[in-house]
Amino acid sequence: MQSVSYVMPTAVRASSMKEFREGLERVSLSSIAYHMFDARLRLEKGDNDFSRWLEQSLGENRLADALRKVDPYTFTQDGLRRRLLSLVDQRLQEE
Amino acid sequence: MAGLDEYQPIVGEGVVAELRLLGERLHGRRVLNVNSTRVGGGVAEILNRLIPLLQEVGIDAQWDVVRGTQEFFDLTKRMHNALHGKPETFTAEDRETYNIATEQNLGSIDLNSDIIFIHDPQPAGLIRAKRDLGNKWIWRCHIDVSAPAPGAWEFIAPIVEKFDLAVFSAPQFSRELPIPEVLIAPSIDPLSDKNRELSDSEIEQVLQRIGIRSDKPIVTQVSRFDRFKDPMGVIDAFRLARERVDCQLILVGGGATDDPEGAQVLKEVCDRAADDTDIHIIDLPPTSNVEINAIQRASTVVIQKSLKEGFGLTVSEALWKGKPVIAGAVGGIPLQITHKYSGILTHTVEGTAFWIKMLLSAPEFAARLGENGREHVRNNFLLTRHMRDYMLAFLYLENGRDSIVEL
Repeated sequence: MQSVSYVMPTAVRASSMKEFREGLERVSLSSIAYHMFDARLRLEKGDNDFSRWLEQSLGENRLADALRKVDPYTFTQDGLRRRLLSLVDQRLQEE
Repeated sequence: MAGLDEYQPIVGEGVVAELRLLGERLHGRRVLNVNSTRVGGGVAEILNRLIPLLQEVGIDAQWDVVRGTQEFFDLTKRMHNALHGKPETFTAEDRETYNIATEQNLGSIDLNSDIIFIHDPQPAGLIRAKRDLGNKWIWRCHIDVSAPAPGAWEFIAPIVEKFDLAVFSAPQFSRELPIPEVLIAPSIDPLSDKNRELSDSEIEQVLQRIGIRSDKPIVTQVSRFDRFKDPMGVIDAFRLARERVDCQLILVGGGATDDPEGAQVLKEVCDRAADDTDIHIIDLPPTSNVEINAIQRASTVVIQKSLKEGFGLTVSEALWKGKPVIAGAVGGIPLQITHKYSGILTHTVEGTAFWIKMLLSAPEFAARLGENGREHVRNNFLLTRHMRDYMLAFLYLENGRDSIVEL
């Protein structure tokens, strides 16, 4: 048994926290799975794409760490999206 | 007919955008679906919806059916039953009947498409044209072929093995083949009459028409009057539960009139119910989609106490309506229900009775099961997911067997 992943760019882009939040709400659960689960294998070291981007592009190290701590295997797919959104919302409220 | 945009409020913008993106990658591909009937049955129902949606995203999807004599369709019906496990004998004459029908269809169906998508055994013999055309062929098996009667699988195996790809609905329905196989679960259409949202007054009208009062909780099983659906067991479980919690039972099925065994089971069910005024047995014509929808929506708890089952999509239909479902742990049902999370799985009459009582007495827990079930169906058993998987299967044929494919 083998799983095959098909990866393609979507039209959703983010260059700020606000846009990131909007995108997180709009993309399909497959996109979230790709950046949270597949990334752990792709990037190794158990990291995910969102944390890496938040750190490298926005300097949001604390939020990046918070997202890194989320164990995606302990959520349903919808639950994972809600958890990520709530972490981003907490950070946006601090501003 | 509903376009893709109408699914957006249900499945979200991201899912629909994904379908359009996949469509762009497959733009202009000619995909010919072939099955054995344009009307009736789950395959035709799904193709009726999928073909226009595939066309909408840019795929040149077409649909044709094989034609044949009564003798041919009698044979394929026997083959269907035998693949499900019913003992049947197949002779050299049967082979000849199949070959003659196949030859005639080869002469009348234009198979010059990029992908030929064959549904079930009836049109599978058309694979003979592949050698000259050099296109890609998919065999989509909608039936459970894991335990066929002797001789049945041997009849079609040499044909199936010539395809480029086989598609099964669930791992337990599949067989080992020398060709690649993929798993694609069936689906329900949230916009069809059987599943669309109904207003309270529409539901009330149906209840009035069939003579049901919603003055006490309704426990319902929707299914053909068939022993494998265990309607007797449902009545027994209901009666046990009713000793503790006041409720009524609706057993609703359809099409018993043209199925001799169905008529017999219906009679036995009526005898078992006798003059119990809390048990309503309703035999509806097979086209009563809005009525079934309304009955499911009016129910407090939905049962699917099958003893043997195919995929069992009536479970997803009820879960999609947010109903707590108690179902037999057979066939494809455990793929739709995680016990005590998105529904209840049972194995016995007593277990079913216990959970009827439990769910009627704990409405908050019951509602949570229904909500979780609805989300599970939203993510896994709606038509849009089915469409996505078919498009991914088409891409698989073009991209070989890499484990990550960048499109």
